[in-house]
Amino acid sequence: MTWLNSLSYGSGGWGDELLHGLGVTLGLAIATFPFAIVLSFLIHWAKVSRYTPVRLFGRAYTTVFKSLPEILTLLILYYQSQAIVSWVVETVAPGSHLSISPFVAGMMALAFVISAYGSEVVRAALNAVGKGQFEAAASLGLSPFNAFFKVILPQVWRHAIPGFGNLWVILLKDTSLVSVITLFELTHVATLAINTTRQPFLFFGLIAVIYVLLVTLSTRAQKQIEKRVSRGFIREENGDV
Amino acid sequence: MFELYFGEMSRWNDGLILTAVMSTLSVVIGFFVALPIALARSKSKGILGFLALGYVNIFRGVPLLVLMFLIYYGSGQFSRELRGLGLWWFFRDAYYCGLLALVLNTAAYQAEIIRGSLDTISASVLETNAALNLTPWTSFRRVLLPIAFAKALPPLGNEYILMVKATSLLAIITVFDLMGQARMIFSETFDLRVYYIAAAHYLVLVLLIEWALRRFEARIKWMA
Amino acid sequence: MLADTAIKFANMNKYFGAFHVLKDINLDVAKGERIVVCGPSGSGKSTLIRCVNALEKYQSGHLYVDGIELDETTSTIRKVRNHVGMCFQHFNLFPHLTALENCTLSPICTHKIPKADAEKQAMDYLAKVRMEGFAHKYPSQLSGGQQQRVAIARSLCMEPDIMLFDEPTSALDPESISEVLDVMVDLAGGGMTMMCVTHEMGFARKVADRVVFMDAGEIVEVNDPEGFFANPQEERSAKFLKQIINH
Ligand SMILES: Nc1ncnc2c1ncn2[C@@H]1O[C@H](COP(=O)(O)OP(=O)(O)OP(=O)(O)O)[C@@H](O)[C@H]1O
Ligand SMILES: [Mg+2]
Repeated sequence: MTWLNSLSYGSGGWGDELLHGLGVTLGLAIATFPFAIVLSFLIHWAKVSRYTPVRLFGRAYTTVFKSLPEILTLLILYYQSQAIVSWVVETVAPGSHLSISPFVAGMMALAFVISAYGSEVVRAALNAVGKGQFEAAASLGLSPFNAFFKVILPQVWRHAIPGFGNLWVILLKDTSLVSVITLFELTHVATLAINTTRQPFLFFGLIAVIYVLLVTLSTRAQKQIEKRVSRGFIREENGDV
Repeated sequence: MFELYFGEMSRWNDGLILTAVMSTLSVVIGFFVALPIALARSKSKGILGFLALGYVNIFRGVPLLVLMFLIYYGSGQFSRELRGLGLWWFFRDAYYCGLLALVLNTAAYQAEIIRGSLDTISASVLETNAALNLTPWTSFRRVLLPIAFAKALPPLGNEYILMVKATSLLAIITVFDLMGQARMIFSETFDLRVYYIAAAHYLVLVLLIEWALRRFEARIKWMA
Repeated sequence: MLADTAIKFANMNKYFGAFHVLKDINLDVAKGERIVVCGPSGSGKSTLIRCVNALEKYQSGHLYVDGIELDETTSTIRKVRNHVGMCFQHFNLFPHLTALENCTLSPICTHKIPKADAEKQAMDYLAKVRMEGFAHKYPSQLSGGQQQRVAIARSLCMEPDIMLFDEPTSALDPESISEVLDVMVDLAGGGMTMMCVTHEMGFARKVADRVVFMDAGEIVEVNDPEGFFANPQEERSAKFLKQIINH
């Protein structure tokens, strides 16, 4: 049973490393997601801003991050931010050194990509909430801030959860790309394990199974959350057209 | 910037062509793999439907990069057996393995798209066909399929764009698509602008495809 | 400008892009006056009253609400909206809040009224629209007529001087229509300034001081209800009335 040995926990096997890799994979996804959601709203607002340069920026942002392969975005952000940081450090404190961690670069790249799609989820969800809700809030004299946080946002989630759920799954799977810039997440750990054990099918198969389980769990959780947030909305509410 | 592009023009062009070929091939082959899966998902409640569901869930759950590694490197663990079966020529080639991974992946997504469009075709269309006394096969081929196709076209177009981006992962298993050429040139020059040139290629390619799809959709809108 | 004028339109024009929706509108609404606005679909009735609480901007002329000239500055708009309540055709209650919470949200957030006081006041207004028994229900648990009455109470909680209604009963079944109209009649009896878009001619006869008839973005006729129904002065109003009655 050599394959059981190579998965064992401890110095002889790769069980502990894999577990650690799983932690990094989940950690990266969980750290990135809230950041990506907030960015989604900001990019949506940029796209509907009344200032043309802001609107153009919003549109360019979505076009670029939706068109470039995630892996390319990741490499560019990784190397470019490294170059910028090195330059800044060299100017401020010559001789010292600071490097961008793959984790941070991965977070940035994934948040940018996910929020480009997320801004569309936000747009659709706000549409589904309906213009009437904005107008009712405005006609009651609520400030835009209160209107958004007290009236619109609580309703947005219900419409945005399927879209954001999809994006969560995409994010979870895209963390595998960060292995390319040597972050010690699942896929990278598997690659390392294979270098010594010569059992590529075993390790990549195992990783594949883990991902399928994670995705299945996520989808289950999403259904559960959907059910919970649609309580109190039994009948379709009316929106002024 | 100029010499990085014009000096390496033939490599950039080769990469661009390979990206276009691999993504198109995978989407087209994937469509034909997806059709029976979609039908099984849509019409069968039994074992076929269950298998189709399993297929979709598995291949939508595995990251494409992991799938490529599994097929290309994983098959190495069974090289002797595969040689015995006369399949080794396929699995030792990164291009074939990459294409297989792309097809398996996109077929899962396309199956869900096609199933979605099949399911939205209303019962009234089926009743009309019955009333016109069309045989099920004629009804399927001449009525359902065109309607379903027109409905599925926008999301399928979207899937095509996603596949153009996804082919970039082939570079990681040493295929020289756009991304592969970029990595190669980068490793020779260590010039970050190489990746910006690659980005410009993808941007233009995706915008072109979007433009073409919009024109095509406008033309067949009446079918939906 | 007269001290007892609540709303004054003076040569007011509004465009949607190139489309001229409101053409040279002139109308004075006195304090406590009840105006019913009617006219064919697309004539600009909704747009007219939505201008009064700045849900729509206008491009030329003047519009004064409670003596304040409406411009596009945030502070003016907020000031005016504090004086004006509005009821919509589709109620637009906040579906995630109970009837009571719908009523107290804005008093608590914008007027900084303590929660207990806001709830007490809201219960009074809910009682006024005969909805006090449904204070803790969500909008989705209420009928259309009940929702509209809660929406009216919600507006009243802001203690407005002017109430705007945009076809408040046209999405309701006959029974609910009379529930809502009864509440509106009460409100009119209390001396509220009201501008109401409606095709409920019975209501117009009973409470309106004046009827404004609009067609194609113009005010075609302004008349007292008796005169308007018995003896319309304009051909277009006569034609419109005939169509309504023939229904
Ligand atoms: N946001 C908008 N953009 C462009 N045109 C609009 C907009 N809102 C309304 N219109 C147009 O302005 C005209 C007047 O609309 P309005 O809603 O005021 O009519 P109405 O008299 O209230 O009709 P109805 O009885 O159908 O409610 C219509 O022709 C309408 O199509
Ligand atoms: Mg209207």
